Amino acid sequence: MASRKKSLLKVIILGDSSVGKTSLMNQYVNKRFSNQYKATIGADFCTKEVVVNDRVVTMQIWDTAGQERFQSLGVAFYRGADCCVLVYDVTAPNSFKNLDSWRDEFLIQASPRDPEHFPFVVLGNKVDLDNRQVSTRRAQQWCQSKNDIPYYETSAKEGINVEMAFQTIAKNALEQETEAELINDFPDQIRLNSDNNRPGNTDNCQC
Amino acid sequence: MSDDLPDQFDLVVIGTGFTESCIAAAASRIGKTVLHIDLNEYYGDVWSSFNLDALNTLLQQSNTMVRNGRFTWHDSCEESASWTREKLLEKSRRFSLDLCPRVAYSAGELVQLLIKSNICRYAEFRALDHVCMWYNNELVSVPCSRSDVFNTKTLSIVEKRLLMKFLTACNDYGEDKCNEDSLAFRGRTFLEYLQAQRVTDKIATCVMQSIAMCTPNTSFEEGMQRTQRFLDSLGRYGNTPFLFPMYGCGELPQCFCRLCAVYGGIYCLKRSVDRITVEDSTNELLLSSAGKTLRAKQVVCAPGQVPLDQLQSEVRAHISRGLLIASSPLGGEDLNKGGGGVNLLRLLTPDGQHEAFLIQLSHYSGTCPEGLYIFHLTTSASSDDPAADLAPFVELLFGAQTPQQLIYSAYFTIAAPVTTNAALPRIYCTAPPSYELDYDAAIANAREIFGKLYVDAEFLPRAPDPEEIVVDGEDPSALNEHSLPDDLRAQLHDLQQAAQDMDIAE
Repeated sequence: MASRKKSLLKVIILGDSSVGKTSLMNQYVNKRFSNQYKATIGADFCTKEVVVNDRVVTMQIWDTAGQERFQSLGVAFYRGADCCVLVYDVTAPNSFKNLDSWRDEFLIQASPRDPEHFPFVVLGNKVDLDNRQVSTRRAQQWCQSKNDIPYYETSAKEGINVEMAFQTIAKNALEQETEAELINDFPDQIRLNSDNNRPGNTDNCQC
Repeated sequence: MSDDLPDQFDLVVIGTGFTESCIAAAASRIGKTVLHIDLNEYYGDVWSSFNLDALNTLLQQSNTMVRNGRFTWHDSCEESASWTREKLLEKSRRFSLDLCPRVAYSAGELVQLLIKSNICRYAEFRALDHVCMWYNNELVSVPCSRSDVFNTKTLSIVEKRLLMKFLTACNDYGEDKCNEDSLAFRGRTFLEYLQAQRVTDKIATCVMQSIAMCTPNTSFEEGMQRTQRFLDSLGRYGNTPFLFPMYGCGELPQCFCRLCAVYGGIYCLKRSVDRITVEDSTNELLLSSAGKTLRAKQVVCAPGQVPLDQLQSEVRAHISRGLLIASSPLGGEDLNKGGGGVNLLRLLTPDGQHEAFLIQLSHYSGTCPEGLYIFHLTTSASSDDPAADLAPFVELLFGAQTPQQLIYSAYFTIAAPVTTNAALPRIYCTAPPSYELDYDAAIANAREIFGKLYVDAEFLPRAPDPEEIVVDGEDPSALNEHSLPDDLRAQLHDLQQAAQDMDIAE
């Protein structure tokens, strides 16, 4: 019963404010970039169909909606995540240092069944800027020390590596499945929408 | 860390409980600037869910809203017990234990609001597996769907026909206000009506206890309405008329908060307000918070988070709660197929004077590890001793339960200071959670306060899906372009080209 395969991947993006989480999501899904920084208004989640290993899956990418700004992300945000993308800004060393606490926070809040092998991906964003502060080597070392997290250097603005990074994200999230990890824990859960809320025509007492 | 927090808002909401979160989302949705804070480090205030460790800590500390807390481990003497205190605590994070557990009618206020506002995209639910009743010292499933009625072994064939006939009559009631029954039973009780239908005792119990959820004093009209409410919610999702939010009711306030944040609301947990004053020259409210002064046109405040020197008043107990964890579910296998159901049971004391409801949760609800069951008992508080308030119900249900199956029990009171809104203008206090199965009263309270804040504004109109949102600072045509026919798209392209050329000419 609990082995129904998932066709929806929930991906959440974490990282300090203004590292470019929303921009990365927008670049990947909408192929758009806005230079005008607003602390994430209107950014919610995006869905995109991806083909991984000949299988079509829907990737749902969840933005923090700005609630990370004052360390106020609720546990509901982390529920059921299949992959976690950690983003830092290569020109802001603090955002790199904070990757540790974002990773820890994720593991505590989402409490995945197998924390050692949960798929993370790290993105060093804004490589288009000149004033780089965090070296590739330093970032790679950190990723290696955390069970070889895949690492990409991206520019949401120029669209550099964004597509490739998200392909890896989808692939790694799905690969968990072969290790019997990505099973649907709750096979019968219900999402509400206006379509299936029409008065029942199925089984009903009102005969 | 919070030095870059803006200091001017249309609305500051203090407390992230269900009602406050509804109001914050509604205000943000219509474009108001909202700051939403909570003195706790978690969302939901007294509407929150906790892991086992956190709940125990909370019960030991006690705060304004959660009082008279205590918990007991019922350690088994047997070595072979599969669940022990240590094992439960080891899996502490797998628990999501509600302070105020509820179920939602599938066509009720909450579900309608979630759908109407599109906040439903943030939540997932599980349909309740069974609605139960307590009959002849036995837990029995109440047949809900037509096939249930057909298949049930609980009722005889005659009873089945009587029940269907009765429910059909209830369903049709109200279409014709002048029909015989409506006239004959006006001003009488629902029980009298039920008895007049010459249904059996079992069916009467079934309807009174679980379908209409009445007491002997409930009026005929009220009973009919409640029955209809039950029937209206049938056949929408799953086999019963009720839904339970996955991972517990503490998720719901967070769904509203997320909508608020998506529309620009700012969130700050672990932040409180020390005092509120009115600035005479501007008539704005000044909130001193963590050494900073925030300005707000209006303030909404949870009863337990009102700045202390503002409204000192007596604290009144509202709800008595029991929370039990056991290694076996209530009722037989048919009530707990496939590892346990999420079941609802409404209980009445023999004299019909007190009622309580019990929600049994299995791991399918995402609130506990597999193999364990949570029993949430809720009744309206009649004393400051929650265990005593619930004792008759616990006795009824667990009296026969062998001791090693019950592992943990906790009791606490949900209380709130009696607040008045008269203390300062433009500060609105929400009502504390009351004894109710669904969220009707809480939503009505949120609507009422929102109506005072923003007269004539729509309460939570539908939020567009992300695909429909035009990101700020972008050319809206980028989004619409793809939906245009080819010729128009070409025209638009030409226009844009022309506009660009003009820029260069400057």
